[in-house]
This record gives sequence, structure tokens and C-alpha cells, in this order.
Amino acid sequence: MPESVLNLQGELSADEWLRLDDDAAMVADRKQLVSLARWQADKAQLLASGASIGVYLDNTVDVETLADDVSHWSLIALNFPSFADGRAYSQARLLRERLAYRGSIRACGEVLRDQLFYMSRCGFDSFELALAADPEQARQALNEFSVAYQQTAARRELRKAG
Amino acid sequence: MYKYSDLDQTLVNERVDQFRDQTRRFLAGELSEAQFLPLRLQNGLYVQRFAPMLRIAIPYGTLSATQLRKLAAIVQRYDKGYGHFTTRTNLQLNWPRLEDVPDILAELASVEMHAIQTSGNCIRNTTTDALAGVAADELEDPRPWCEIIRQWSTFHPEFAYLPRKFKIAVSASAQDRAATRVHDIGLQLRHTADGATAFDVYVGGGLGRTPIIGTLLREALPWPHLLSYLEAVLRVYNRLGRRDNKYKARIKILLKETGAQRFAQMVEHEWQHLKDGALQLRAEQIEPLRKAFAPPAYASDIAGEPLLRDQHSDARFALWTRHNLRAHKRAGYRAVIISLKAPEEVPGDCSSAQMNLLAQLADDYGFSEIRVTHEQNLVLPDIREDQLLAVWQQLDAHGLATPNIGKITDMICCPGLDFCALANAGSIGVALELNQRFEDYDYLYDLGDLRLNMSGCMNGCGHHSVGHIGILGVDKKGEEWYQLSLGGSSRNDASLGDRLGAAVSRAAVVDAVMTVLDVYVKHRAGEETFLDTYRRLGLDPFKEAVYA
Repeated sequence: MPESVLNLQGELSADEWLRLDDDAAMVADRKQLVSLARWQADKAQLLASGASIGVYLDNTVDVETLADDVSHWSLIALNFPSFADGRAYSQARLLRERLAYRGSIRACGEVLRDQLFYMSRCGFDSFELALAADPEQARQALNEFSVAYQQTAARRELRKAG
Repeated sequence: MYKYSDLDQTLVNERVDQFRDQTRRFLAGELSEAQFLPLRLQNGLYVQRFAPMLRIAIPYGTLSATQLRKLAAIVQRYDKGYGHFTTRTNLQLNWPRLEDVPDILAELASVEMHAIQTSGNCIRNTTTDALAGVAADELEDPRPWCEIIRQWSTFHPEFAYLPRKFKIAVSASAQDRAATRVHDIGLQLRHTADGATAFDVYVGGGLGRTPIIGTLLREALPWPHLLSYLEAVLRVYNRLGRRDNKYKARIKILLKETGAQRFAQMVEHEWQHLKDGALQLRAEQIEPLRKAFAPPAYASDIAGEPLLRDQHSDARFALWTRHNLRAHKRAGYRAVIISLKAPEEVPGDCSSAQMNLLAQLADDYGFSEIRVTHEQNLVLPDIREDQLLAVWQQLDAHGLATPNIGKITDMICCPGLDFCALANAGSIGVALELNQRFEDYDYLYDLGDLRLNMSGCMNGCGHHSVGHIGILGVDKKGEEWYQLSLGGSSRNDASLGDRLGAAVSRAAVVDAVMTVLDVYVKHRAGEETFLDTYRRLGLDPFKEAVYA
């Protein structure tokens, strides 16, 4: 597990989230990142703890079925099993644009420098880089384009057509 | 023609910088081959049999004379002095050096061109009718819609890592010259009863290993919803398309395995959320594009006599006018098809000198525009009838006046084993040998309209499945063999060819084609075309003759 995550400004910071195995007990005073199965099984207990809750999702999950849940979550971690498997891009846009999810969306798995820009455009704002992160390279990657054709809900500072 | 906005130009410039840095990092060892692969692919760069291959995008097959001159200069400076036009109306360079590619992209950007998304599992170059804007049977110019699709699909952040490549074609005429039924999405433009533009949307067609004719998913989609509907289809595909097997990853397989009705429902669900959102097109977005493609200043006083006189005075010119011209919507003009299928040349290849000549002809006799056809020919779309002779004389002097458009030697052909790392068999050699059998043009013309398509492997870049006669190169224990199919078509009556029988050897393949033609000539009724004769007779008489 990486020790630090990247934000949209290209800054690295320590990961505040504790990834909790499904059979592990909750740890007090930590932000808890759990699987969807754990959330579905222990929803009441997780909410009662008062801790910030994050949920990690496989890229096959239909996020539209989670419309009633996402408001309880401060983080959703989406997975790239390979950088070439682009399903999580659609999940991120659906979370932002259809479910109006305002919490953090984190990219996990094979997250490489050259996909950061597209990820940011789809609504990701946090990145677990697969390789040793060079913040300067990452900042550059997030700002490689100043313009875009598509009106997504993210990166509104880009100059757009239409 | 469409001119880049400041935004378009900024985007391609930033792309050049990005790729320059990616190439630098790869050469410095900071990027692995696996990590560099999708990055170079999305800039059209393959690693081929002998050298990298660079595929340059020619959006909807339209080039300005300035752009064609730049391509001529690029193939001269960075390659071996020629390029290869493809069925996606792109231009392939077979011998560039990886280190030079950033500079080539910078040169392209200087004339509003790029190599973005000409490869990789993303939305590829959108194609259309090479006669767009001039065809006599056209409802309206499809290119404003193609440009809208180009912009929407360029660097689409959600659809850059699809399960597989994705191709869109647009047709706006009665006769489909864009092969829309064999595309991932084929759009057939139509006008509704009140005259409004709408699109019939065909989804899940495709060639390759599993050729399938597209399904009509939605009829008469109103134009404001064009992009939202495309986005809905792409999102369903991105989420649900198979990623476990690259041979089952195209949308045609998803549609087939899901069932057309269920697939249409999923798209509909997605579209209901998208249709009235930011993607809804407004008239003020379309109007500037319609203006960009508005007809040029045509003359209206062109006399018909000079053409008749010229045809009388020169039999070779007359022959060419019979086969290489297409009707134009303006009286006094013709669209001139430039054959890149000279008998001794590789189909689709064009030299730097030929490109420069065509650019000059477009400037001198046309409106500085050139088109690329998906049959791998070029078009001068607006030539005055009284200037056809002058144009022909120059074309003829440069080997560009082969009078064979639509005939069997006007074949579609992939680069095959001679260049491509995927190919099982040579296609170019077979093409050249076939040409030698047709030195007698009377026989060529007697055979009428005949589409022969040839691919060097089952990926089907040469569209063999939709050739009236298709030839597919296969590998048998290290030897090149050829599988024939008959009866394919990519037009409105789209159909997939039927496999004739066992593959034949390299030595026998051209004879087999000639035998097929003999059977046609023997059985045809009057002026019946090969395709119609085949559809009437079926496979048997051809099979009996070839395997006798």
C-alpha cells in the first residue's frame, strides 16, 4: 500500500485512510476504507461509529445501484486492475454527474502518470500512484492540456468549446 | 473547409509537446515498452515488421492542397518518398524513425493535422462519403456532423481505454458509400417529413475475425441528440464490453451476446439521462460548421461541348472519362477519382511527387480540396468539364490516370506480409499478379463493376468479407494460402461473403479468381453484375469450377 497519495494540485500527502479487511475490527479514530460487501453487511455499525467511511468498488459495480448509499461516504476508491482497463472512468463520471457525489474519488490499482489527466477530467481527485511518485511529473501530467472539447463535471477551469 | 479554431490549434500543439515528452521518457528508459505502447498507439505509432509505422489522421477524408503538400514533404523527408492511403482514409508511413515522430507531429500541427487516435482502443477517425458535398444523390453535406463527432471523440476522457477500437462512419446519400453497416456505429443521415435532419443509427457492425452487419438500433434520431446518443452507446460499451478476450471485445460481440433488444434498452436508459444535458446540440453550434463546408464559388456558365469534343479527339481520355468520373450536384462539374491502383503499383500507395501534383491540380483546377476514399483512391471533387482534358493529361503523365475505378483491379488491399507484423500472407504480390492478367482492358470493362478486396490476415484490414470477391491470406504450416469468399457488399445491400471452399495455394490463387470470373461471364444474364449473378446462382457453380 502506498504511503502517500496525490491530489489534483499534484501534492503528495500521507494516506489518512485505513483499508480495513472484511474480517478486521474497526480501528478507533481512523478513517475507515471498506469493501462494498462490508458496507452492505455492517452499514449500521459503520455509521454508528461516527468515523469517516470510504468504500472501494470493483470496476464491474453498477454505481447507479448505490444512489442511496453514496451520501454516507467521504471517499470512493475505484480500481484500475490494469491501466488499459477503462471501466472506472465511466464509474467516476456517473458518480459525479448522475449521483452528484461530492466526496473524494480515488484512483487505485495501476495508476500511472500518463492517465492522470483523463482521470481528473472524469472526476477523480485523489490518486494512489503505482510507481514511486515524482510530484513534479505528476503536476505536469495534470496540466498537459489547457483545453478540452467535452463538458464533464470536473476540471472546469479548462477552456472548452461550444 | 473547416479551419481550426484557436482551441483546436492549442489542443494539437499541446499534444505534440505531450508526445515529445513521452517519447523522451521512453528513450530514456523512464517508461517501459508496455507503458509506452498505448501512448504511442493513441498517436498512431505502431511497431511493425521492419520499422515503426505512423498513421496520420485525415478526418472524414478531406484534405486541403496545403495539407497534401505537407504530407508530400513529410514522406519525402522522414520516409522513403511515398505513403499508403488506408481504408480508414488515413495515411500510413512505413519507415519513420521513432525519434523523428515528435517532429513529424509538429509539422502536421502546423497545417491543422495530427495522428490522434488513429490506433489504440479508442474512438478512431470518423469516415464518410469521399464525395461529401458534391455527390448528386446527397441529402446534405455530412461533414459538419463528422466534425462535431471528431471534436467530441478527440481526447474523450471516458473513452480512451475502451475494450477495443471503435469506428464510426456517416453516410448522407441515397447510396451508402461509407460502408456504414460494417462499422461499430454507422450513421445514415435522413430528412424527416418536416425536413429536419435525423440519423438512423446502426450499431455493432464490423469486419475482422467475426464479420457482422450492423443492427438498426434507433431510427430517425433527431440531430440535437446525436452526441448524447453516441455517448450513451459508448458508455454501455465501455462498462460492459468484454475485456477477457481481445477477439470478443468489439461492440458487435456485446450486442450479439446481450441481444439487440436488451442492448437497445440499456442504451435507452443511459440516453434518457444524457439527452437533455450538456451534449444536446444547438443550432448555433451547427451553423458555423455548415458555413465552413458551404459550397465554393461554382461557375454557372460551363459549356458542355468542349468535353464531348475532347472525348472525340482522344480515345484514351474518353475511356478515362467513362470510368473515373462521378456525377456532381452542380451542372458543368465532375468529381474526378484518382486511381491509386496502377497495374505495377501497390494499391493505395502515393509518392511525394504525385501528392504535390495533386495539390497543384486542386489549386489550379479545383477549390484546393482533395478527398481520400475508403477504397484507397483520391478525389479531385470539383473539376470543370471543360478542364477535364487538361487535368487528365497531367494525371496521365504521372501514372495517376489508370481508368479502372470500380473495376476488379481497383481492389482494396492491406499492406500484408510485406509490412505488417500481423499478416499471415502477402497481399501486394497477389494484387500485382492479378493486374498482369488484366492487361486487356476490354475484358476488365466487360466484367463491369466488381469489388475485389484482399486482406493478409483475418483482422480484415482489406475488408475481404465485404468484397464481391474476397481474398483472405491464411498461414498453413508456414506457407501462404488464400481463402476465397464470394458475394460480400458494404453498400446499402450489405452482406458478408460466403466462403468458397478450402484455401488455395499462392500459385493457384490468381487462377482461382480467373475461374470465378469465367463462371460469371458464362452465366450472367444480359448486363447483370457479378454480385447479382452470384446472388441468383449461389455458390455451387463457382465452387464446382474452382475445385474441379
